[in-house]
Amino acid sequence: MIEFSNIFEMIIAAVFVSNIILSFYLGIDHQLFIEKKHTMINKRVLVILIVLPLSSMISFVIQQSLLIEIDALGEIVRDLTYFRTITFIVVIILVNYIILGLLSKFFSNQFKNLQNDFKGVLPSTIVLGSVIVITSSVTTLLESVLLSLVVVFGYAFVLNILKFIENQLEMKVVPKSFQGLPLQLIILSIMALIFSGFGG
Amino acid sequence: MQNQNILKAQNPRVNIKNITISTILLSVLLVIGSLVYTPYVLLMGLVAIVSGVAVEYVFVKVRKQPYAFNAGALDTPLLIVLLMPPQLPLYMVIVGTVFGVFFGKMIFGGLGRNIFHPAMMAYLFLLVTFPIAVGANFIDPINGNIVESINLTDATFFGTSEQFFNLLLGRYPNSIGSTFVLGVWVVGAVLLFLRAVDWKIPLTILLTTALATAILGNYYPGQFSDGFVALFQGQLLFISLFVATDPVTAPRTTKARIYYGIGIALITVIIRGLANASEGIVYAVIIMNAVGPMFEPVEQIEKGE
Repeated sequence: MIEFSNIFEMIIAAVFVSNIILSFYLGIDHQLFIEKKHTMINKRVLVILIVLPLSSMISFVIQQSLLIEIDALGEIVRDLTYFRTITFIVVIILVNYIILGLLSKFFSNQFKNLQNDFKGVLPSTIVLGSVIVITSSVTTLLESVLLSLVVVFGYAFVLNILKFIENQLEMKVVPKSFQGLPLQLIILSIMALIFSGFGG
Repeated sequence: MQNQNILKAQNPRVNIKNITISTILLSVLLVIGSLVYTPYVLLMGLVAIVSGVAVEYVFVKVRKQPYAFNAGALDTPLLIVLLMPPQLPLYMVIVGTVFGVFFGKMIFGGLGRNIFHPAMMAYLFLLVTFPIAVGANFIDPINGNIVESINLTDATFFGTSEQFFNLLLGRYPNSIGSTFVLGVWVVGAVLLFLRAVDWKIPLTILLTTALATAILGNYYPGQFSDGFVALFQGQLLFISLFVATDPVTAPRTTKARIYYGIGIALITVIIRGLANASEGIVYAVIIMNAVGPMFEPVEQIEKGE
């Protein structure tokens, strides 16, 4: 749950206090972490930026209209929330493949490189996890779109800082068993410690 | 001589002479702390140094490399102890030092390679793990009572000149190193006079803190301290002199150092006044450790100069 009451608090909450990667531990993707270049990461972030708002919008509508039904007195008539994970998975896969199909039909030359990124997003926890977090924190459709944009921004922010730090390091002197992913996870945990200080 | 050669091969950025000067001054502050509080403070320092050196020695020996003892091994444990409240249990000192030296320094390749300051990491780790013992267990130096928090935001509390002199002479609760404020100023002046650290970073931090506290204090009355008094409260002075100036974790060009100082001061003031964390400068220093090198020109980073 990301708690907020206006758009300013939403930005602070989604980027710093409850960052998707630092406080929900989502999107820690091995394939993304071994990549050294900023451009590759930003390409992946671009794909998430296309997929996530659409998926969270559709998932939010489905959750409000099909999974939970509230009568005029405000009592819950039907509660199928336990069904949401499988529903959202189906929504995300459909959105992903529809976008991929449209792009490869109309812009086949430019988006040929992005195909692997679209497929790489599916097994990652970032999209599904974010959709569950977003749909459980928002109350209107507009909020779900805005929040998903801010969440992606927070994700890109943390990943770029992480890569920047990693490029400064001299990997030769780091002990062999800590090179690469272990050291990145340690740096991430330190950043999670720091960002916890912004609470309140 | 052999020690010197090993060190030179390992750390291009570190000046051992400056670290030795700051280590001697830190131990002076530890002795002052033991006079203000109890001699137990000296025991804490000893335990921290022994555990810190032990971690470094074991780490290097497990990797089958030559071990070169230097002042850098004493610097971090002393800083950690000086940031703690007095009468912290000894096992917490050991846990903090081991975490700071291992995860803050040795994993990145030892002295001169770390990204985040190890003492700040140890302090942050202890603050999260033992929030009451570290963050809310200060001792009044006059009567020995336990005080829950340091006063960081109340300007009227230090209103009269008598109270202000009491603050300077260390009669208000604070961490070991920062209690005797006058001593920190004198030791800091010696440190700057010997040119062991760059004077630009502390100056920028202190000026920006005073300005930002005064300006924000106008908009949010009651939540911020007075601009001048804020310089003497909490651990701001101690950390800006001894931790923020660390040549390994701070940026290298003058322009980047000024941005670094401004960033630290702004984050400190905001966390002090608006968030619920106790002392913001710890978070501020680590955040700027991560972000600071971005202000430098790209060639500078690649050369490592």
